[in-house]
Order: sequence, then C-alpha cells, then structure tokens
Amino acid sequence: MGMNELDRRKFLRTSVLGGASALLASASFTSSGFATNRTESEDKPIIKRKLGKTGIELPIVSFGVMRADSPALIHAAIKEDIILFDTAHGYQGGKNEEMLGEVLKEYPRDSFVLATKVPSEWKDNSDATMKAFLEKLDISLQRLKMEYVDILYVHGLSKRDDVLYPVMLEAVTKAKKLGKAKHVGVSTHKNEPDVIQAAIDSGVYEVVLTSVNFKQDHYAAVKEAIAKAAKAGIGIVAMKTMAGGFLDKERKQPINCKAALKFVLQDENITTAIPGNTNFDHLAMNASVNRDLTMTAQEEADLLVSKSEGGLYCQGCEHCVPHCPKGLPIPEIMRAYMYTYGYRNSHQAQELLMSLNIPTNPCADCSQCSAICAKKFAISERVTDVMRLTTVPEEFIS
Amino acid sequence: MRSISFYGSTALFILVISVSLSYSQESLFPQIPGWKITQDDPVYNANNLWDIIDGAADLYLEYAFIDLHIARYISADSIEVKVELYKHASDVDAFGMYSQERDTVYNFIQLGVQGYLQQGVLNFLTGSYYIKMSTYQTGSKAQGAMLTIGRMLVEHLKQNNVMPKLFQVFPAEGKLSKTEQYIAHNFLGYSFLNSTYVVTYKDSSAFKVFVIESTTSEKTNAMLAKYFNAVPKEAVTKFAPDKYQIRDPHNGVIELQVVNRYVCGVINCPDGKIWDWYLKEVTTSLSRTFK
Repeated sequence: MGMNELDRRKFLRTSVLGGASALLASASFTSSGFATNRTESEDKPIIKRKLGKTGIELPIVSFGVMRADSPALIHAAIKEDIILFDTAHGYQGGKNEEMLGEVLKEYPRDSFVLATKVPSEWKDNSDATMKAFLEKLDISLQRLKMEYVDILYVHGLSKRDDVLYPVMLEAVTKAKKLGKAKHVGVSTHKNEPDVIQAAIDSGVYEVVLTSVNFKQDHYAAVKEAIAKAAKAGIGIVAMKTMAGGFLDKERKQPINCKAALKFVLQDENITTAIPGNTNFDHLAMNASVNRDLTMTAQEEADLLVSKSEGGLYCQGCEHCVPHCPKGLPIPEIMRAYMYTYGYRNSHQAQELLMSLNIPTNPCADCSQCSAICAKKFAISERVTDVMRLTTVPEEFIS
Repeated sequence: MRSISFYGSTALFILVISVSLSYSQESLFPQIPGWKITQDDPVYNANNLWDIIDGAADLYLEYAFIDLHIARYISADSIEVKVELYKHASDVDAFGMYSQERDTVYNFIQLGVQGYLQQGVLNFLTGSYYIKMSTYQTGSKAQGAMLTIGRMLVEHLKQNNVMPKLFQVFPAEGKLSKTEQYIAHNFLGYSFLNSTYVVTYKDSSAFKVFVIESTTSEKTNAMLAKYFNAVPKEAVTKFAPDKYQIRDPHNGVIELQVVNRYVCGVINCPDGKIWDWYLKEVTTSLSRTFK
C-alpha cells in the first residue's frame, strides 16, 4: 500500500485518460476537426447554413417529427427558432402529417419549411407507378393542409438504379411543375455514398436526406460523398445522427446524443440535422446546438467510448485462452476492461478482477504475448492496464 | 471451470432460444386450405426495423417492439396478401403502437381486440401482436380474403382479445369512439410522464381524460414533483390534499387527482363542473377496481 490518497486518485485519472488517449488515436477522431470550446451558448446567434442551391437557409438543427400526440412540442420548437419540420407519408399511418398540418396552419406559410417523404412503389406500368406516387403526394398535402411542401423526398432509396429510375425522376419533376413541391430530393439510410452520387448524377434531385453518424463503419465514404454533393450544389440533411441512441441491444446504455449531433454537424457540408425530439428535454438539448456547436472535452470522450464500444466488447469465443501460457481467464479480464472504459464502472470491474484471484501483473514475465484475439484486441496491454485496478482500495474507486 | 460452465450454459441457452424461435416463426402463420404461404423476408428486430419501415421504426421501439415476421399468402386464383406481424413485449405495448396509427374515421370491424378494414388494408390487434395486412388487388374478393386470413390468425395465435383493463375506468358519457390511446413515454412532451391511458371526450368542445400508472405511490409522488418543477410555481394550484390544477404553459389547463399509484387528469375541459364529474368518475372507479 505505497500509494497515498492523492497518488491513487491521480492513478485513476491517468489510467482512464490514458485509455481515452489510446482510443482517440485508434478511432481517428482527431481528423474530424473537433473544436473544444467550453463557453456558454447563451446570447450566441443561431448558426444557419444554406441548403444547396434551393435558396433555403436553415438553422443547423431541425426537427424530425415522429409522433402525433404532442403538438405542444411543435409549438415549443417554433419558439426555439426551429424552422424545418420533417415527416413522411407513412408515419403513423398519416396521423403524423395530419398533426403537423393542424399545428402549422396557425403559422404563416413562409415562416417554416416542411419536408415530407413519399415512397415509390411499382405498379402495373410506368404511368400507374407515377400516378400512384403523385396521388400519395396529394393525400399528404391534404393531411398537411398545404398547397405545397418545401421539400419532397422519394422515401428510403438504397440503390443507384432506384435513384435514377426515369419514372420517378419524371414524377418528382411533375410535382414541382404542378407547384406541389418547391424542391425534390431522396432519402437514404443504406448504401448512402452510392445514393448520394446517383442524386448528383440525376441532375434532378436538389436535396439528400441521409443517415450519417459517428458509429458508421463507412463514415469516411459517406462524408466524402456528402462533400461531392455539396460541391454540386445539393443540400444535405442529416438523419440518424444519434446512431440509434443506445450502445446496447437492451437500450440501457445511452449514447451522448448531443455530442453525436454536434459531431455530425461539424461537417459544414451538412446543412441541418433532423433529430427526433420526443420530449421538451430532448428538444431543449438539441435546439441548444443551434447556438453552440463546439464540443466539450467530455462530449469528445463520450463519443470516443461510444465509438469504440464494439472494440471493447469481448465475445467470449475463448480462442485466446489455450494460447496463454499462464492460463489466464482472458475473456473475464476483457469484460472488466469493458466495464472500466465502456461503462465507466470501475467498481464492477474491480469486483470481477478480484474474484479471478490472479496476480496483479500476470503478463510481466512474458516477453511476447502468444494469445491472439480473434477481434485483434491487444490482450497483454489491456490485461496489464486493467489489472492495476486490483491494487486500488475500494474506497478510492469512484 | 467456472468460465467454461458459464459459456457452456450460454451456448445451451442460445441453442434453446434458437430452436424455440424457429419453431415459433413457423407456427406464427396458420396454414389455410387453398392458400400457399411464403416466408422469404427476414425477421426484423429492434436493430434493423429501420431497414423496412425507415424513420417510423423509432416509434415502434418506444412501444417495446420485439420482432417483425412477414408472410405472403397466395391463393389458387392469384390473390396475394402480405401479412406483417409486429410482436411487442406486452398486450399494452402492442395496443399503444396500434393506437398511435389508428384514426377514428376508419372502417372498424370486430376482429381481435380491434381492427379496421380499408381498401387493400386490414390492420388489427390481437394480444401482443399488431398485425398489418395488405393486398394490391382490389375488389370484394381481395377484401374478403384479408378478413378470412385475419380471422384465422386470431384463432391461431390464441391471444387475449380484450382492451387494456385500465380503460374500464373511463366513463362512457361523452366518449368519442375509438379514441383510446396508450402512451408509453413522454406524455404531453414530458420525459417523466409515462404509461398513460388517454381517452378523448366531447362536451361543447373536445377534451382529454387520462390516467397515468406507476408501480408504486412513491413513484407517483416523485413523478408529480417533477411535473410541478417543470412548470412555473404559480401555475400549480392545490385544491385538496390530492387535487391540483396546473396551467401548463405547453399544454393548457390540466386538472389532476392522485389515487394510490395513479394520477388521473382532465386536459382543457371547457367547464369546471364537467371536469370535476369526470375526475370523480375515474377516481371512484379506480379506487374500486385497481389498487
């Protein structure tokens, strides 16, 4: 017990920050250009960006409307200076559009921007397919109590051929000519780079609503496609910025959603994002980003942990175990590592490590680690790092 | 040894689960004489529901969505009916999701708990399954086919076909038909108001009556405290030990009364006598029926 209290605290701090630094390097977050600034956001002007060549200027945070039972949220969003409301023909069987129409009829038509998404479905022939699409648009307009929508998306495209499908290009062009849509676009949440490139190539679509978030494996490709689209004058609206909102399947480990939103909006090629606000707290949190996009150190750290969550999770395949000359219970130690750096639960990690009854530095006399991880975890580094927790008295673990 | 037995038992558990899942997947859809069933679609879960219903998936997840099974029934004379079975964690969750999409103007039919038949669409609820059926074919034959398959599904799935019990406490007087809703989270836009049963009524104008259910009276009190903190102090008026009026800046005037672990309320009722009557009816019924 050679550590005094200060040293122990310092150890814990260094240990966690050291881990975070390592994650920082591996996750390549430094290239994203996070600007760490911890100033308060009050009194700052709203950050606005132009939506491609549409002539529309929007605050960087908009509203993805996903439920119809809280019109009060829409009123509150308008008070928060949110302008763009995004819905879809299919949401809640049309009730979502109806609710928005009921609420927005109280406001001047030019005071908000309304986007809806209409799906394209193949009918017996091209004419019937186009007619069905335009009929759905008419139904949406009726529900919305509007003569036009500002942005009409073809909903949920994931293939280049679908984006360039001549019937739909004709259909959306017709919708514009009829004055039922000011601007047209596509929405996508799969194969985004291909869809975005096709939208550029179409020469018709003016806006792309795309999934983009910090957890996407192909984030770099999406970002590159977005840059190309922006250069071509296409407006980019981001969705799924929260990456599902949770790290785990059980939805018990929430993502820092504000940080996730800020991360996406660091890319100035993205005009705005449409997080789905389900309560006033969410709304206030998301709307605050409209005035302050800078990432705090904590937000950066949270995202790093969230991003590497998959890299922290040991599947327990035990492929490594037979190759460890010490016979260490590596899966259990990896679990403790995840508790420490993933869930920040050092107590749980220490409890688990203590129960294993193994030396404090079990890898010390191995010059090279012969245990190979199927997920390429650096086993000996992680074992050495996390086993230090066993030397810390329980009362010093926060 | 401990780790081996842990992973051994996990593997066994997974094996048992996968066997039971494959069994349940086959048995979810009844065989119907004269109809061929195909199940080429994947089973969707909370992680990939987005792939099939895009942004609409978010709301399903709020209602404890478990998985979606899809089948297509094709008859000898080429009528094709697509059936989507959305499984939720409980009957109440399934009702909640169904009530989020149902409109009062639909053509309601007696099927399962409740359902409606539109041109080419039959949506209904049976226990914890929210079932959506559709066909591209028009005409009475196709509509009739959906009804037949729907009835067979209700019989086959053997679920409880009753409305969530708590709706029993809402009085019939002035009630607008098919307006019952269960709101799992964020009632009135507040993150702390959950598990809410709501019904719309009409007197000179429409208003809503609701009951919020908590597991304990302590949780009910904590929830109310959060609500009172969320509105201006002067917006809360206490009429009686368990009775309040809230002038909610977002949602209008709300009268509340606490009964055990329940909060009953009336939103934007035009007349004081009327809201008093509704609160009395609901709270009396709650005290009598639910503890």
